[in-house]
Amino acid sequence: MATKKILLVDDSKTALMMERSILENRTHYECVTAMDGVEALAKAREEKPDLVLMDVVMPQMNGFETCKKMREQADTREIPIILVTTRSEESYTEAGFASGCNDYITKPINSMELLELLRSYLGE
Amino acid sequence: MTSKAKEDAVKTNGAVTSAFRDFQLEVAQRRLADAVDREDALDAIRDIVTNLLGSEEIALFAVEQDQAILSLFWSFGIDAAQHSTLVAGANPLLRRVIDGEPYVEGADRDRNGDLINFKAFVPIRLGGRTVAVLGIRTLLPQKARFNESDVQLLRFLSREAGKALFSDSDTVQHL
Repeated sequence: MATKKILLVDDSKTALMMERSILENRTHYECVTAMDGVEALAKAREEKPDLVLMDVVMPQMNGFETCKKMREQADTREIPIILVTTRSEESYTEAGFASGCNDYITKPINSMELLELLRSYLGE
Repeated sequence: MTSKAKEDAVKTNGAVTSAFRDFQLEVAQRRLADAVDREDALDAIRDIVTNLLGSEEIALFAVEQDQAILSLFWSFGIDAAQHSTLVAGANPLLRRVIDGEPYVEGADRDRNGDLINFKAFVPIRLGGRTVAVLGIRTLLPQKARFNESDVQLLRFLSREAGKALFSDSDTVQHL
């Protein structure tokens, strides 16, 4: 069975390091990273990830806009997208779902919650 | 679920929590070690506190020579004018922090009850003394309180952040 690939997108080095540590140490998923929305769009087309885990607040293009653009492109339209945010308010989550994300997780990341969520999309 | 299955689940959760704590410390260590100057170190601290601890209201106070006043010299997400100084004076909470013991609301409830509206005060130690105090004013709404892993991380910042922020000859008095 092919290894599942996750595209991690965040402008925070700390968040990327943490997500990567959890995934590389506790799962068999392969990780690729991007530090803003523009890079994420390019990496999504190039790497064809099985899932995108993406921060909302980023320079150049935020997570909502990036998510919307991924939904507009044929080759990234079907990729599950989980948005990561510091905000948990309803208006914020609604904006996320309106942009086309599949799910939401809040910072600071809880490792158990993250692993369960990813497994629900990708399996073990 | 059988009792054996429950026991296994508890063990698994415990192992994941313990591993998570190690990841947090390792990431924080790498992040601080990568800082090339003070600005970079401040950015690393902000990044660690926001992403690993869950706060977007952070302040760093210099400890004045007489240790009576803490003066704000960097902040993120707080009203700097409102928090420009903290009077340590005879305040027992701040005295303990200046003496090197972190104050953490939630993990340290008995010692709460002070009038200062911060969730945590972390002494930034260098050369055996407290050169600055990191204040965390609020936590994100989805984060109820600091947990044990957070306390370990705050203690790590207390020990290590000073090395990234100040060289031996460049203490906070020279800012």
